[in-house]
Amino acid sequence: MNKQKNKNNIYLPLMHRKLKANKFIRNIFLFSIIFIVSPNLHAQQNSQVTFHGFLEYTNTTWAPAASNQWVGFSGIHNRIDIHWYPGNNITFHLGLRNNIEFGSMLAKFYPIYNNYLTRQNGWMDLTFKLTEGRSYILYSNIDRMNFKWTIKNLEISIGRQRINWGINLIWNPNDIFNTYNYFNFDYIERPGSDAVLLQYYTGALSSIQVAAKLDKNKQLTAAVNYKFNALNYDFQIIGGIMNKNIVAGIGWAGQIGGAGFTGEGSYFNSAEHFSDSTGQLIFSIGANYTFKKGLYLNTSFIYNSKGATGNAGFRNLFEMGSLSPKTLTLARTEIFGEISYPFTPLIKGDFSTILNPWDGSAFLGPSLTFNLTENMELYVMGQLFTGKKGTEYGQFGQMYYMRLKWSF
Amino acid sequence: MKRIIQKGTFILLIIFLLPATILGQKSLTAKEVVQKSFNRFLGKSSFSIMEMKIERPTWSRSVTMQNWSLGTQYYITYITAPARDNGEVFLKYKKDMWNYIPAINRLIKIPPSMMMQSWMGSDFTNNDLMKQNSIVTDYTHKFNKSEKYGGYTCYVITLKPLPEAAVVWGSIKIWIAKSNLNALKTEFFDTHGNLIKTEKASRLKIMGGRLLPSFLEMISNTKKGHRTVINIIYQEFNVKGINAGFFSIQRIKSLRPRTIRIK
Repeated sequence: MNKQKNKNNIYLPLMHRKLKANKFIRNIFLFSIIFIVSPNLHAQQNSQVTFHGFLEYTNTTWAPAASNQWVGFSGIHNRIDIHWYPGNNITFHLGLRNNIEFGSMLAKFYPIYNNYLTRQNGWMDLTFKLTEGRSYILYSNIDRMNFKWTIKNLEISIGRQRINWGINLIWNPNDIFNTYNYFNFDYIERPGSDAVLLQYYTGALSSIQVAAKLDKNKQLTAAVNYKFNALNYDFQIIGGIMNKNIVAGIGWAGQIGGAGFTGEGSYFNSAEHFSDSTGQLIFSIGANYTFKKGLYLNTSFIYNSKGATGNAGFRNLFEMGSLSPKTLTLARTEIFGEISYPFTPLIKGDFSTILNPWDGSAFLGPSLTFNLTENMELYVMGQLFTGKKGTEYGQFGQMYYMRLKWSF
Repeated sequence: MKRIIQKGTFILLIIFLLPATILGQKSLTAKEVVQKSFNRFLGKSSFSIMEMKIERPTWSRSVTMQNWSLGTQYYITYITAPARDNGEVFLKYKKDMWNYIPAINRLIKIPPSMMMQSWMGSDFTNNDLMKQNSIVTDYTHKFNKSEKYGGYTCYVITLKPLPEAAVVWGSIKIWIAKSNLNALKTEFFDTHGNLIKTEKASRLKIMGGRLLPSFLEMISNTKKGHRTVINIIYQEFNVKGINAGFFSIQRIKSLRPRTIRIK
């Protein structure tokens, strides 16, 4: 019945426009910056202002596990990063995304998917819906808006920024300010945090960072990170609070022979019920090796002390964008493997997989990257999930993507 | 990891960034000529801007970068093009190497196996680059009859590997200009005596106070149309403000490319 209703409503969006005049004007202004100004200015590397970014077209087709009705949507995404250097010691950074998404998947899940796209996780609301309907949405989002002040070895950054404490290539239990979601491959920049960051460099390879952020619920995450290098390894020790959890962690990056060897672990416990609750330990280690002809192998392992040892259960597809380090995996342990190879210098193949050994569900991700011109790239990818009902990856089905990206 | 393609680029630079010694004028042995030629690009510290271009029969790609170095222990490379990789920085600090990706504010420690990659199938191999000094230490050196090449009278020196040396070449033949000791042409032969590739250096000009080739080509003799070209746009030696303190994690996270007006 629901399907029927959705089908009829596909043509409704034109009547459903709710435009606020001022918002509309503001967004038109933002769009004109991108399409008119930026291509003319981006090359000025050495000026006080730099412009960089990309424009891409994406297509997604989803074959859900529970239905034989495929849905899809397309996107036109623009990103622009503006850096302004008014003096030697001050930098302003504005990062702006302008996205259009349209297609039957939006209609099928209306308004869930539209709301997911424009959901605000930060303390400041910097996402602007320009216009939307059942089958399309056009919105802008500022994910960087900060200034950095450098006083010799001390750096102070205030505003929306990415504080990246992750070391591993796949799972990052130490990344408590911005968590990486492996499946969301098309937003590598990640949302920023509304935060204050103080960094003091104690040496060429060592530093102390103190950071604090507020999220949309005014929940505080605040922590200290001490980084140092010893025995040709990078180490970090972190401690603080993350949304009413006490968190303590360590991480490292080094090598065994020629292979990269990294690890991260974090322990979380409730700050309010510290003594009468058991904490949660998440750790992940990884190794990678590159052979002479470019063949690349990468593997990771993750452990979650509170993870399920049976069927891990369903994870809402739309919630995966807001993973916290505590929910990097639902299982007790998981294994990741990746192999990639450049078939020619311009064509690269990659195959990645994640296995939940407890419930037998898995993710398989084959992809091909074609370097078309100096600044143009074509990427095709499948995200193939397999598993029985009730397992971690059993209910997603298959996703197929293509992306054509022009960088400027 | 897409980033892999650049690790080799970084290594490529090492050869071109190293500090130089003053040339002696006394009669030199073949080995001394090769040694002094190798030292031409060495300096206590250096800064350079260069473009590397991979040419293939049906396509070409290039990368532009700025490099800072101190001795052979410290390097920083900043990628300015292509646009996708703009702002990426590499740091070599003694034995360790890092890659900073500003888009995701991420510092990655580069494992040794990743450092050994060549960039987009460039014709320069790591043996050419990392073990460059091996042309002095791993071979015997013998003068041939002098020849004229590229407008210069050149020493022609044949190198044969020492019995225990771990090298890939059967022999190497180098043309070194007598007047300035720049190596202008190098031919690499396999153990069967087949010419595999040729390196050419040309467009000599005063850079950083020295007469140096500004255009380097590595041409494949086995694959038609395969060539890698390095164009040195700007070169400076013994640069003010470049000391060990210059090379740090803090530096690469906030580095901006230099503005150089090139005539």
